[in-house]
Amino acid sequence: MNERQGFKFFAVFINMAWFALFVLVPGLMVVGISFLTRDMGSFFAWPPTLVHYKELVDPVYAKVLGNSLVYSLNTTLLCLGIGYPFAWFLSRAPAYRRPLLLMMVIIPFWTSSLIRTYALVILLKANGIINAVLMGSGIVSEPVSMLYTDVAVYVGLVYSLLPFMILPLYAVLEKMDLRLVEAARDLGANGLQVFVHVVLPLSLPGIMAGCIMVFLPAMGLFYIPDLLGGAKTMLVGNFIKNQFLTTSNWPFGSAASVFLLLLMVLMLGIYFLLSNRFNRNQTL
Amino acid sequence: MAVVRLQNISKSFDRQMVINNLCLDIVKGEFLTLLGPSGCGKTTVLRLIAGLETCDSGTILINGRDQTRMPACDRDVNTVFQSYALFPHMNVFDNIAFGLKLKKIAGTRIRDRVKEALELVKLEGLETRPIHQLSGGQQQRVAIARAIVNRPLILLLDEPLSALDYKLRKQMRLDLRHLHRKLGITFVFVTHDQEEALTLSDRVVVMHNGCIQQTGTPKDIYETPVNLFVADFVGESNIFDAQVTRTLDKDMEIQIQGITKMVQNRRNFTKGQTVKILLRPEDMTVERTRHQCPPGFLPGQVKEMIYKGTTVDLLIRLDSGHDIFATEFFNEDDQDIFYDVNERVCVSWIKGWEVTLPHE
Repeated sequence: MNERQGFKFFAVFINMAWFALFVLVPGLMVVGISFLTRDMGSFFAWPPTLVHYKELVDPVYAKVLGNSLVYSLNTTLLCLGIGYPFAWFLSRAPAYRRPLLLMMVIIPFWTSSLIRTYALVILLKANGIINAVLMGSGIVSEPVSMLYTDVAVYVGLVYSLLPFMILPLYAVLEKMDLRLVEAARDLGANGLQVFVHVVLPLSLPGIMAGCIMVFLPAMGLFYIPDLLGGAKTMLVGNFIKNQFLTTSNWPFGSAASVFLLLLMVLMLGIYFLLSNRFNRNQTL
Repeated sequence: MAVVRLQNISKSFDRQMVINNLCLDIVKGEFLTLLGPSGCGKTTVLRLIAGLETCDSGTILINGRDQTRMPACDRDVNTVFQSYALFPHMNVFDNIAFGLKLKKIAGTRIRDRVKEALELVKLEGLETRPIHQLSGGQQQRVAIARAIVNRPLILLLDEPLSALDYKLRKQMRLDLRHLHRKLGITFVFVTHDQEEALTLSDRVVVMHNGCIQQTGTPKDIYETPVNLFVADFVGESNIFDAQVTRTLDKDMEIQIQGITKMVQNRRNFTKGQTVKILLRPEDMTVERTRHQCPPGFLPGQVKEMIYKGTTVDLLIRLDSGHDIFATEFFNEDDQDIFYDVNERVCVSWIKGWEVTLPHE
């Protein structure tokens, strides 16, 4: 084994070991615990059981899951609606201005998203900044209640996840051959027709990637519904958190985690299947 | 009647003048070529006609109507793009049918017309082929089919052959001429390749720095260029400075490279005037010599001989130090056109074959 191969082995080994220790092992532990019995003293205990998975099928929890899906879906659609035009203008901005605009999308990432969520609380609360401005300018006479509403939850989710939609969309739109747009115009397509028949289908990989990257995290972001929704809306993320931290039902929380994980794997699988087919049809 | 009339068109990009007060009439049904070096504005003229650019000033009349501000999608003009710009997410049929579907033509009619267009470009049966499975030549043909299927008033072609290899390019040239005759559509073709321009066109427009230099038949352009740019850009030329020493009747005597020679006086040059004499390499006569050159011949030495199959190109250094090119053809009378390097020769031309331009 020469020096280069040695380094390669070392680099790969470190990575593998890291993932094994901090991702694979805890993951397997979650899967293992989900099959064990609840125990008040030591969180979980022998004997193995399937009871937690059976419990999950209960209509109460199905409703939690349905709720989460609706929130995630709406968040994804909102992000798509806001992110697509933004990504389009970003990709069409003069080349020298694009790095700055991209930085403005990325900079918020440098602060913890929990802190940014608290910042939203300050903006939205009854005696917060937005209400102060609205009342100061005489538009409203009483504070508008924004915090602890669905709107606040959506504001938080969209705000946190929007960059994950913009970046993959920007990547495909920036690469798109504008001559195709010209060709479509030349063949008689107006603005809307160019978008529907050329731009939209060609940006489909970016749309799919962006939706996956927003939808999946939205299912698990428990602190945003907690802080902005006032813990009124129970989502899968909150539900799992509660099982571990409030009701100390680790096996049940684990079963819910495994279920969520499988759901995400399923969606990612569909995504890869679709994008493979799309790529085969398109590129050389 | 002019199918397209460009009146005093000007266009700038970033304060850089690309088209400068250009006027051009395009005759219905003709094959017109815009010829010029890259950056001369020829593609911009094409894009202005297509409506993909808007001009800063001037008017564009298409079929007699002012369409200066009309968007591209409403003009009865279609373009074959240099990069083909085929839609990668559609197959051959959907690419070609794109324009027809937008016009809401019935499905069966679309099928017939796509089939007909594919026959015209000799790609029968490739309807369901995805674009990325086509060769460059086939993509080119799909791009042409996608444009002509709409039966536009004018077909614009932006250097469509530049990405093809030599053999294919020659084939496509023939096919384009054939297509032009068959369809009767006005073709406006942009190229920087003078051979393409001369072989394809009814009329050639030579452009330079956003201005038209000369408009004429390929023969006009090649044989009687109006200025040095055209002479130099279209074909090769040997260019000499000369001085008129005597004028008589339709001829004049000039002093050129140290000798005197009679040439035709087509532009009423007067005694003492400085002129440029342009000679095509194939118009040069080359004679071997061991002694002095006869009167009217320029003495020189062969520096390079390039064998080209049907011709032999000679680089000759005249005794005055001027390098010229001469092309010799193989023919029955004169089998021996091979020269040795450094062989002494005398060079001349037949009176009247020269092009005389005023000194610029």
